[in-house]
Amino acid sequence: MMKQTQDNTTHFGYKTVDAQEKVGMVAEVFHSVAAKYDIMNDLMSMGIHRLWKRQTIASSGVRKGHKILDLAGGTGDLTSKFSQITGETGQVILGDINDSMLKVGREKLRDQGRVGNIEYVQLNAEALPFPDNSFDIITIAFGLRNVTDKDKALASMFRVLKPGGRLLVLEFSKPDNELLTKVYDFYSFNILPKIGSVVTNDSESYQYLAESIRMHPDQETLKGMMEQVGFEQTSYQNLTGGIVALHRGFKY
Amino acid sequence: MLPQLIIALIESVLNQAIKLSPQLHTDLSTIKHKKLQLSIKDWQLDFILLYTGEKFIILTTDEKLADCIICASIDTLLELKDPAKITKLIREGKLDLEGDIQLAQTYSSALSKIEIDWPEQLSNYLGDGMSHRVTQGIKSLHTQQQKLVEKLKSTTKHTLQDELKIAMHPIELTIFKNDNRQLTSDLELLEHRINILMQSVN
Repeated sequence: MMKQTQDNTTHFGYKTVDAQEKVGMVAEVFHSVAAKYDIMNDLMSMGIHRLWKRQTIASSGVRKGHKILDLAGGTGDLTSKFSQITGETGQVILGDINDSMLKVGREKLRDQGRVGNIEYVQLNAEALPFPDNSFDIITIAFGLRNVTDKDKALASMFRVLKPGGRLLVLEFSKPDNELLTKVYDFYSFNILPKIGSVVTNDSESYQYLAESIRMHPDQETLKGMMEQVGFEQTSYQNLTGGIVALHRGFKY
Repeated sequence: MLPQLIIALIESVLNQAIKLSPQLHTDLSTIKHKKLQLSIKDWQLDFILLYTGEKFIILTTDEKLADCIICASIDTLLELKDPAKITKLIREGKLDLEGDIQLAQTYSSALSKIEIDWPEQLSNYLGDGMSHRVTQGIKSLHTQQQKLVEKLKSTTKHTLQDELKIAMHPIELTIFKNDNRQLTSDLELLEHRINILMQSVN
């Protein structure tokens, strides 16, 4: 589990680093990949990330007028769909700690004509700058793994969620099959960094991606962490054999 | 993930249809952002259809959170192309509907009226002349195909009727059986008379 230790250190991939340092190191990774983030997602997942995101939206129960916080929203795939569904009376806030990712996301959404009900906020998930009980839905897709103190972030999400609201965490997880694990490990540590090297000229960021996935809590641990901060009716759904898991929890 | 993939494909087909048949925007304007949930009995699959004012969004769901929920088999859903049939199907118990019936009727009516101007769409890629030729060619193929189907139907019908003429009709069989019984009875009578005559001779 990637938790801060007593001596205030944490994991950055397989490395143990000072908790304060991790924020900057993760920021570097995303500054480096922001421009080609979407194309890399399509290449790395062979387009399947679009289906994982569809499943997230399908599980969100989103409807017209909802107020949604898309944390670590990056290039805005979820925000785009949410903004269409919630309509003019709803609001979607795309939040990300990384300004390069926010800029790419804002540009992309504006090019798509998605304006009016979307706001962009640079924020730290551990200390969300919103009043209590503000959102109907909070999503964090492929972002929780990069947060330094996940418990603090989950507690912060719980605080800003309205009673009756739900949190959806889409994140890499642990495959449920031995053979798939071996194939997936080979792909992650041998092929992924090479794709990164060719497309973004940066293999280290994708080495970090593979390592950070392995250090991320497995399905049951993350479910327990959500319950620990107060979420109820928590459940998860394995997608693509558990390579990715979608966790869902409600605040009552 | 397979349902997500299938639904993504259906969504993209519907969105292509809305691009090619702009009348749909007017027909659906009153139900913007309203959710229609279709629960398909045969597939045990629920999904939500939503028109945003620009495009369709289709999502799978495991909840009952829509403005109108329709539960039916695929065959029944296909019958919904005719909006007038909705109440008839409900009365026949083939379709369960909860919520706003007008939403279902609007979708049904709008989707059944999709009209795509294919020559106009094709001309963007092939030019006017070629587009005209292609559409005429397709129309002619379609007419020929219809003629062929009609001819096949007629041939099959005649073959079956001819076969009926060759086979014995049930009335003919009854007459034959009656004649046979009469003959057997006449024979028995004759045999009886012969026996009497033989006895008198002896």
